[in-house]
Amino acid sequence: MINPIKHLLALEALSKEQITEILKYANHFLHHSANQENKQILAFKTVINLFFESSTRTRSSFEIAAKRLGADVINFAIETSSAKKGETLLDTIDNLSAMEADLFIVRHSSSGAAEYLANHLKTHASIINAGDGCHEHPSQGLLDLFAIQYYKKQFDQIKVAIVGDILHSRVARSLIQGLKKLGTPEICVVGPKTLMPSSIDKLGVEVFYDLKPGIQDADVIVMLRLQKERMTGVYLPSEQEYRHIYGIDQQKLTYAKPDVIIMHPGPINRGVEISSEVADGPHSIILKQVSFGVAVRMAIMTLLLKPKALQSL
Amino acid sequence: MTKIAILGGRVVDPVNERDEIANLYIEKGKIISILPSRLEDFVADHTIDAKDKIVCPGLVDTSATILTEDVTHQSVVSSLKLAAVAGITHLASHAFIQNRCLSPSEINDLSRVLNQSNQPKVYFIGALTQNLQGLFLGELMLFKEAGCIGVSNGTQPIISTLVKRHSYEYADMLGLKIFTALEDPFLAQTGCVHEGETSARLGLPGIPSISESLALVKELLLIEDTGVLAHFYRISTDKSVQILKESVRRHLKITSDVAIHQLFLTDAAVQLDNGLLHVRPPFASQDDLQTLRRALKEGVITAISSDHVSLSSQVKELPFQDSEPGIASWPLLLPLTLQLAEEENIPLLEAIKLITSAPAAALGIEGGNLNCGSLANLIVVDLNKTWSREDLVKFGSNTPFLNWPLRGGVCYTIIDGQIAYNA
Repeated sequence: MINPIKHLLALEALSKEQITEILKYANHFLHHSANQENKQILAFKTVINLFFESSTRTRSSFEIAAKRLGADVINFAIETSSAKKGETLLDTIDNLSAMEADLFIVRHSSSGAAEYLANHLKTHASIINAGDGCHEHPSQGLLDLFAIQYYKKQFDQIKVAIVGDILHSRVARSLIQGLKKLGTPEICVVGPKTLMPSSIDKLGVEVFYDLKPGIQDADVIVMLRLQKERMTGVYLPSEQEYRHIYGIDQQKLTYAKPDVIIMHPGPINRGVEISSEVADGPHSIILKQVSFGVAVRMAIMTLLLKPKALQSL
Repeated sequence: MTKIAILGGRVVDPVNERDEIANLYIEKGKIISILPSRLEDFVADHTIDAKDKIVCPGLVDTSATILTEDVTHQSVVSSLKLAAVAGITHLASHAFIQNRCLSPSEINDLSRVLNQSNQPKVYFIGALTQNLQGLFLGELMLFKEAGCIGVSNGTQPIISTLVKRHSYEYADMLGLKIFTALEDPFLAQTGCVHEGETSARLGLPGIPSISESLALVKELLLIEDTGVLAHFYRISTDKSVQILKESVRRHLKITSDVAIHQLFLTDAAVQLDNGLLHVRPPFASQDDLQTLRRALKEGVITAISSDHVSLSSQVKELPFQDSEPGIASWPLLLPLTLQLAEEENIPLLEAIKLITSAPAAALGIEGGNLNCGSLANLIVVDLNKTWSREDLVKFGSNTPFLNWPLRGGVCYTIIDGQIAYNA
């Protein structure tokens, strides 16, 4: 039984069943990603990458996924000054509606931008939110869930620690929503108080300002990227101090379970939030996440545009 | 001048503690008599049957935006016509919009035009510092001579405490009240929503409660130090109310208002894909809302204001974060105050006071009463009148109240003894 989804805007809006289903199809595509038959799935469909914020990885991942499914892909990068953000968005909708694309993959610096576009599009096109402000990044959340499932096999007996700039992280928000839906009992967020949203505990997570208890006996550690401009100034005194307290290295890794996996949405700041030896070490699955990303995005796009194709898988 | 008889209405006048069925007579612009019996030998040009209706002072609004950036007389007059539809007879308006400040002579000119329009009376509030930049004192004496009832820096911060203190001292010397929006410029800088569970969940930059209460504490100390009269706009948090309570207890010369919509909505209703609930200060928590309601009953907050602003869909129908703050709240002022009275068991006389005599006193103006011998500024209210979407949208489409079952509307608005609006 396939549950069709029109848009993928936020993991908060998905049910446990819908998430599980996407992970199941992602597993299929992981093992059959280069099958020639896949090229038929989205043949003659047009996918537009609409990025109001720069991105290399996410955009490429979507592009590869779409091409493996046989879709035509067009990339739009629209740089906007913050003052003109809103107007551009309105203008863009009408222009894009006229192009009769089937799917828009949208990244924007404002929370809610993808949902706004979805509600104002004048055509039947679908929208995937590829990151809206500090809100959500659901395809990243799904690939993170996929990676956790791949290595840990289940969600209901693990501890997941998310470390870093929680305040500005759409990756963290999506993952928290997904893990809650899948019944993960212990979700810890770890970071400096200045980068921790007030009342984040109301989302059902435990808050730690200290790394050690936060990652103690963790099965999964997700390190978040710290933006350069936030390392020194009103949030943190210096890069060195951040690394000293929150940067993960071999020694700190010993607090977690022996079989802990280390994840990171990339791109990593080597030597800041993560030491090179950990990033390249046996616990790190950072590069695996990248390949999972393509499979997960193939599953998402198929579910949105051609759910019937999934029945025959 | 028209002679008007308003017969058989329930006359509610907080200032004179009157709440009774009576007839009200207007001649030469003034209320000449209110009495249960008929006034013999009064030949009315216009008779209003007010049976089953409320007759009360016209509404007084301490905080509304009526200027548009082009500041044409025409646009202001058409805006005022809407205010009359909402039952407003007196309102205070900043004599500036964003960074465009009217000069004293411009204020004079505009006031002259508006006074001839038989529309709600406008009381201007001048710029406290030059061009609102917070660097140099405004020409407060000239504003006063141009008829301004007070001065304000709007939502622009005065960073220098030296400039602030001197401007307050100067205002005090001239007997001008200062009108202050409470926001810490640094803490509120990038925020657009109340900091709490909603901001954490939606990833929207939050404005912490302390932004308002911290500003309030600083203001109170400066006000006490300089002795200036002060009014605080749009109190929105529990913490601010606690601080105000202490000031009221100590009889500081302050007044305050709360925006009508703050008494009915919280941040829990915020949606990411539209800006309808984007206001400044932002909608806070349910606890804050309950405290605000209590503070009105206890007299800690003086009055209810509309905080009305009409915004175009171009700036409002956007993702929450990108939209401009503000709600077209004029049509809400009367029906939601009536709803508040019902929900909180506030006697009608007390509820009407919050939108008539109390804000009039806060502004230091004549109005908000049905004194015999005073100019007749009053409204006739039908408690059962409902509001359609079309009625509301006339005031601006920027309202989250389109589907609310609003009850209570104006049948007549009478300004200086003339019918300014007739439903």
